[in-house]
Amino acid sequence: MKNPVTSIKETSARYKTLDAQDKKRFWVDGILNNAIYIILVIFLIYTYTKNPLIVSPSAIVNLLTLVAANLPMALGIGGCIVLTGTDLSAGRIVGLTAGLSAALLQGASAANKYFENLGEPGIGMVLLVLLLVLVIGGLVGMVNGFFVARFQLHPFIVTLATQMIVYGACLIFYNSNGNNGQPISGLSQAFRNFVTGSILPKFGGLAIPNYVLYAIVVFIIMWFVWNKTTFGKNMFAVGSNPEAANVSGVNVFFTTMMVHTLAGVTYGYTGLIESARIASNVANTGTNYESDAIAACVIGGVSFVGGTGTVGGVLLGVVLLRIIYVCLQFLSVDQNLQYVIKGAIILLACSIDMRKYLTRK
Amino acid sequence: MQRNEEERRGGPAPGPQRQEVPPAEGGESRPGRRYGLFGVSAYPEKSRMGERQRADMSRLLGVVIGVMALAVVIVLFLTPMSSGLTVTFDALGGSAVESQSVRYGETLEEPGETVRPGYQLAGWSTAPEGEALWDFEANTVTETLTLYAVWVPDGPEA
Repeated sequence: MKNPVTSIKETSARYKTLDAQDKKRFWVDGILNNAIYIILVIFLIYTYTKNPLIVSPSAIVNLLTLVAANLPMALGIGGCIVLTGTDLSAGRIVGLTAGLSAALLQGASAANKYFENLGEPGIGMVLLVLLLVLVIGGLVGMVNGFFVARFQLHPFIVTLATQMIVYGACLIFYNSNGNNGQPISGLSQAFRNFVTGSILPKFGGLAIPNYVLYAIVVFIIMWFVWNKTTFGKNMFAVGSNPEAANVSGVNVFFTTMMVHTLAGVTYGYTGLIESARIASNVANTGTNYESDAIAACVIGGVSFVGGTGTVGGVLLGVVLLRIIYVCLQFLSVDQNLQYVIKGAIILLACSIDMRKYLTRK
Repeated sequence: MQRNEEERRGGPAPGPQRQEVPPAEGGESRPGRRYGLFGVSAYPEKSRMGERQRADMSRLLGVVIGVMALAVVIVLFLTPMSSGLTVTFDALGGSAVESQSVRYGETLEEPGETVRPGYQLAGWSTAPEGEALWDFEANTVTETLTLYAVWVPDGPEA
């Protein structure tokens, strides 16, 4: 990390040497490249003037929980984007694993029990189910990765196909065992305590749920994987130039497959967390989660060009996107219009990414 | 073709975490991964675009970014709290009650009087004949919703 003070000093020293035209370009570039952040500040100030509740402790805890819920998934997809790919199956995998965890972890006295023979699950069962959904997510990710890596198919089409397959499986799951597509709820106390219970200190009198803690753990693990392991270095090498990586001895097939598998594992994890967070799970749980995650990655500087991106950038992207969403919510902007604004912001982020890529020397 | 592909992939594009990769040796060109459905790549091949073309495109993109950013902000300003979140009250047979507009996270005001012959108003609930009554002091509004009157009959039933 560069010291921000020295970097500002360097920039200002360089700025003084520029001629008038370059100075103008400096400002235009600065404004355009940071358009998202400028919009964010405008959003925040405007929202604050209209609804000061946005800086209340409850709003901040709400933001924190939303970021914690979305971060692991964005980190998984971030890896796929570093490989110039994407992953569209994420949301549906979340839906399937959320349904599975809910069904396996219903309380003994739940009204609509999916597996009638299961008793009241304890903490051991919760951990077992966590392992199970991680494996399921990982397996679907591995299938994605295999097709992408072995047959060099575009991840877009591969993950679109698995998205449909997983959604189909999810619908079949909700409709079988006499469930008839009913929501699965009545989760056990152990499960709810594990995810939404709180062992963290309170903030402004409000409990911070455990999954914020887990998200921090996931973040640290992913930081380690991306920055400190051979696998992480290989991922960036393959992302920026697969041929060169191949020649210099990187196993491109294995790396690509593992990136997708790791992504799948994060979706499985997100599924378990969402299951307890939402409490009443339906087949549509998780729909469009991937679009938010992809948008967060792009805003956070994980470029679709491949080979660039940082774990910290993904975190920043998730936080920025969530702040914008929370602003829209607090402004009580019409739900339908919210989609329009969200879409425009994603398009804006992609355009900025492209422009940076073009002007890079 | 293979050559071009390599050049494009190997183009200098330093990023914060870009791994130093030695350039591919000429004779050793193996088939690497080449994405693209029907050979169409999502990103233009930088090396094939002239300096001028690139400058044009980035200028146009700059304009587009500026316009979109402005549009987002203007849309935000033009659709202010005019509507907010509307909470309508369904008196379920009682006299009509005015709806209220609030912002996310705010509480509702006690609605106006409503009367229904032969019944007493017990309170308001989010579901018709709902059990849980809306707490006007504590409950905050997070979405557009309708509250239904909960009536209890006057006196002993005949």
